[in-house]
Amino acid sequence: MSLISSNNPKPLLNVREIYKSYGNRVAVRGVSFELWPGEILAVVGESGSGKSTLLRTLAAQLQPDSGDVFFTSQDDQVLNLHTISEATLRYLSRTEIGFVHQNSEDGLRMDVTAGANVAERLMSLGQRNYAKLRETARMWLEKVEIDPSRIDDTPRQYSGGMRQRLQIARNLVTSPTLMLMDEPTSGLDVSVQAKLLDLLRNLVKQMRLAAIIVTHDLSVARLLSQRMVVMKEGLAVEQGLTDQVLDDPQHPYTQLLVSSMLSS
Amino acid sequence: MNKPIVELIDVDKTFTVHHQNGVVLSVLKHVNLSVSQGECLVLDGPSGMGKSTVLKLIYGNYRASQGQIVLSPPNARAVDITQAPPRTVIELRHHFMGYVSQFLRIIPRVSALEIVAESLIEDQEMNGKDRDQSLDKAKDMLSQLNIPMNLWNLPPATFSGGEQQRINIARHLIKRKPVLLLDEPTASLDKVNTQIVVDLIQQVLHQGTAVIGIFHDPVLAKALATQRLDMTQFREFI
Repeated sequence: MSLISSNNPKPLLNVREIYKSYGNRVAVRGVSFELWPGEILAVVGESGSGKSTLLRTLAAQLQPDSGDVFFTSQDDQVLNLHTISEATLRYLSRTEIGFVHQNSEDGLRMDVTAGANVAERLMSLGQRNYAKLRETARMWLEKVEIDPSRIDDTPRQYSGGMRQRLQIARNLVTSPTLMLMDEPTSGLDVSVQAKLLDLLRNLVKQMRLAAIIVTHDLSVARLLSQRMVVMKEGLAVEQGLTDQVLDDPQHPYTQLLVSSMLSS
Repeated sequence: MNKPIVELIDVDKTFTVHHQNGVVLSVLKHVNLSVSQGECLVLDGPSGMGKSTVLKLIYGNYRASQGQIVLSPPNARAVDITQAPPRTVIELRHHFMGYVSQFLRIIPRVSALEIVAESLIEDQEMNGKDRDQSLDKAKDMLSQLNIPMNLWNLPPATFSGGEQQRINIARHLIKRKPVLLLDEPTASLDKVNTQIVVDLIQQVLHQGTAVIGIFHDPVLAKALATQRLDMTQFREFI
């Protein structure tokens, strides 16, 4: 038995005291946590709690007012995502870090084919062999349970659930180590949501991905994550093991959230 | 004398309910217990005495309010789970302790076979051969536990209570761990299936697993226990 926690000396992501405000309104107030390779962390809270702002800050799409985000790259360098060069950040965002938007239109090119959407990251890395790109795209469509015969359709011709799955395929094609997901299942029918959750569960396991999933749905958090951060008014009011936070909530707000759940 | 593998030292558990004017419920006070390899400790007492709470505290599902819960994995340093960071708890659950709750948590779309094989599959590289071996082992478990073959590839959502309970047992007994926590694992089983489960528990005890269990059936409790603990003594009546 390989005990305990010694084989990964560095966290994949080390988030330190992030503050972010919009004008007078403080959206994130001093959030810190670590994420280890292969871990799924859920960030929960109601809308306006600052969870999406936090996620976009982690992806360096937003610059925090203060605080640091350290990412350990595959070549084992610890990089501060907010001070590295734009070129390096762009490279990481196309390879080692994926981002799934709540609104699929923000994460897809709506007027090019599904195949081109999946292949885009590879092309940006210099792959030019058309037949090979197409084959890879076809394989990824299958993996996310999209009929490969739809490879030449544009996302406009896809349903909401298919678009979300296409977004995921488009990110996973470069085998990232970290996926950031903003409410990936909201706005989907329950049955479609179940399919997407099952798919995510399997993919993160197979690819040993680490992921941060922002959701207001505690049952999504229960199903997918091992750890959880509860946010309220920009503060991380509670964090810990997902089942511990849900079964033995300590903070008044977490207790309120959990008692409002329909069933767990 | 065997070194304990699980030891609770002066453990208290209270719940503070903030939305009921911060009322504090004291569930357990000064719990001391210890279990060693191959022992079966049975927790006795009427419902509401905190029997399940003890199991949840050991598993790290509940946070202790006071005291130490020391787990001593073989060939590794002892860990006080009340102080352990989340990833250590996750690792301990993965390699060191299993917890069979009363109900199976159902995952949409995942078949009985995959649920049972999950802990083995997680341990392996993702090649097809390892996966098939894990699934074969899961099939063995399912047949041992009398689950009809035509159910194996279905998600257990539509199964009977007894079938779900056996799936839950199968998924936790498939991988041998040094500690097994059992919360009424036979509550919805008939006589024949109860006996099968008892035999499986005896088997892991012989292999050296330490068991802490709650059994509603006094005959069963007597058959399995190597020591018993009266839980009413840890209750503080207000």
